[in-house]
Amino acid sequence: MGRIMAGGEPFSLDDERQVVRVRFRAETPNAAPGAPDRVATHLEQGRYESSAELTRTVERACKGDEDAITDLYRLFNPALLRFLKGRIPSAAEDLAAEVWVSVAKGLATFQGDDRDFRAWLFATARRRSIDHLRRLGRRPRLKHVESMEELDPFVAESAQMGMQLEVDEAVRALISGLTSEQAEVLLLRVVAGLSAEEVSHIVGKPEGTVRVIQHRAIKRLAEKFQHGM
Amino acid sequence: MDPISQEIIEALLSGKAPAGAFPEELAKVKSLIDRANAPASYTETTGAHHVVQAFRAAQGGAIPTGGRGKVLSKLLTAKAAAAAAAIALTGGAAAALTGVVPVSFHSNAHGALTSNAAQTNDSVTSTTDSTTSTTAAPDSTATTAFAGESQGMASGANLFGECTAYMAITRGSTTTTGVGSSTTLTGALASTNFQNLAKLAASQNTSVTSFCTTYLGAHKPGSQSANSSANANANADTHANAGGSGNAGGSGNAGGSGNAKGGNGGTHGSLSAQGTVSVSGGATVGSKPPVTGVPTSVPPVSVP
Repeated sequence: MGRIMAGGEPFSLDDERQVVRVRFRAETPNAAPGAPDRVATHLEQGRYESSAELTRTVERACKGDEDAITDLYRLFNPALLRFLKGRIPSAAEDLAAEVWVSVAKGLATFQGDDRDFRAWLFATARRRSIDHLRRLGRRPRLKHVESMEELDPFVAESAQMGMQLEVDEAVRALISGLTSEQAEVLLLRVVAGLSAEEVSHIVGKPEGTVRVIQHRAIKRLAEKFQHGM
Repeated sequence: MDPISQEIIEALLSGKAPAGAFPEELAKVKSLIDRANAPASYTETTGAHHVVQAFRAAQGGAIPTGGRGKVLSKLLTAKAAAAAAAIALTGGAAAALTGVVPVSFHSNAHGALTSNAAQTNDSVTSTTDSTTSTTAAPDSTATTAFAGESQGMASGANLFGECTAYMAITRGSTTTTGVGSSTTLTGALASTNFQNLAKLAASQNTSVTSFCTTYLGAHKPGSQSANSSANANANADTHANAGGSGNAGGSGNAGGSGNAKGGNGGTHGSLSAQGTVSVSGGATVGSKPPVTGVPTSVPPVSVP
C-alpha cells in the first residue's frame, strides 16, 4: 500500500480511511502540529483523502477505468507541467503530452501504488526532457535557466520581497542560478513531491548524494535571498 | 548564515513546516516552494480525455511506437484543431483548387451546405494533419451530399461530377504533391460516391472508366450551357496559417484564447439556375489575414 517518505523514514498508512497527514518527525522545534504537508496537498487537490484511495484509483486506471484515468491526469498533470516548465519551458506542454501518451501505453501493465505511479510518471518526464534536449543537440548546461539577476526584475524583486508570484514564475525563481543537477533534484522533490529515496532512483544517484545536492541547492537559494539576490 | 541541518532541509522540501519555522532567508525559499505547489489551475487539468483516447488506442495497438502519431497529434489539440478548423472552413475551395477534387464536388458541397450546413463539420473528423486534410475534408462533405442524391445515380450534375472526378483522380493523381496524392487517390476512390459509381458501371456491365468516358463524351461541357473554364489555382496553401497562435498544448491549454477562430473562413456556395457554382472561401485564423492562395471563386460548372 501507499508509503509516504518523510525525512527518509517510511510511514505506513495502517488505516486506509485515515486522512494523510504525515507526521512531522524532524527536529524542527517550530513545526506547527497539523501543518499541511505537500503530499496531503497533492492528494487533496485530486479530491483524495488518502494514499490508499489514490492507489485504488491507480489500480482502476490500469484496468481501463476511464474515470480513474481522468482523475490521475487531473491530479498529476499540474505538477508534471510545472516540472517540465522548470526543465524546458518552451516545450513543456508538448513533452507533457508525450509523457501521457507513454503512460497511457504502459498503464495496462503497470504495477504499483500511487507512489510508484508518481515516480514512474516523473521518471518518464525526465527521460522525455533529456531526449528532447538530445534531439536539439544540446548538452545539459552547467547553469540551469537564468540566474536570479537574469530573471525578470519584477519576478526577482517579488521573490525577494516574498510577494506572491505566478506559479510558473515561482518555479523559475526557485531554480534560478542552480546547476542543472540541483534544479532537477529540487524540482523532483518540491514540484513532483517525491522523496529523496525516490529521486535517487530516478536520477540514478545514491540517496546520500541526492541529499547533498538538495542541501547545496537550498543553501544556494538561501544565500541569494540573504544577500538580496 | 547558520548551517542548515538536514532536518530543516527535509522539512522545507517536504512542505511540512510553516514558513515561520524557518529563518528569514529560508522562509522566502519556503514561500517560493509553496507558490510552486499552488493549487492547479483550470488549464493544467484540462485535456484528460486525450489521455483516455490514448489509452484506448494503446489497448487497440494503434499508437505508433514513436509516440508522435495520431494520438499525439490529438494531444497537441489546439494546433491540430486550428488546422482542422481552417480546413473545414475553407474546405471545398481549398481542396478543389489542388486540382485533385473535381469541380463537381463543389456543387455537392453546396448542396450539403444549403441542405444541412452542419454536415461540413464532419469533414474535420478524418483529418490528422493539414496536408492530408486538404483532400479528406471535401471528400466526406461531398460524400454526404452525394449519397443523398445518388440513390438511383440519376443523371445530372452529380453523375457528371463523379465521372469527372473519377477521371481526374485516376488520370491526374500523380500531379499532386506529397502526401496528398496517395491519400487522395485511395481516399477518394474508397468513398461512397465512387462505390456508387462503380455499382452503376457494373450494372451496365462496363468498367467505371469506360462508363465515365462514354458518359462524359455524351455530356461534353462544350455542348452545355455552362462555361467550364479551368481556372484552378492550385496554390492553395491551406495550412500556411493553420497552426494558429497561442497556447497549443494538448495538456490543458487547448481551450486557450485565440486558438482556431474560424473567422470568416468558410465555403459559401451559390448554385445558379444555369448550374454555375461559385465558391468563395477565406480562412482567418486568429487575427491573421486570410490564407493566401485561396481564390474567391471557382470555375462554373455545367449541369448536363
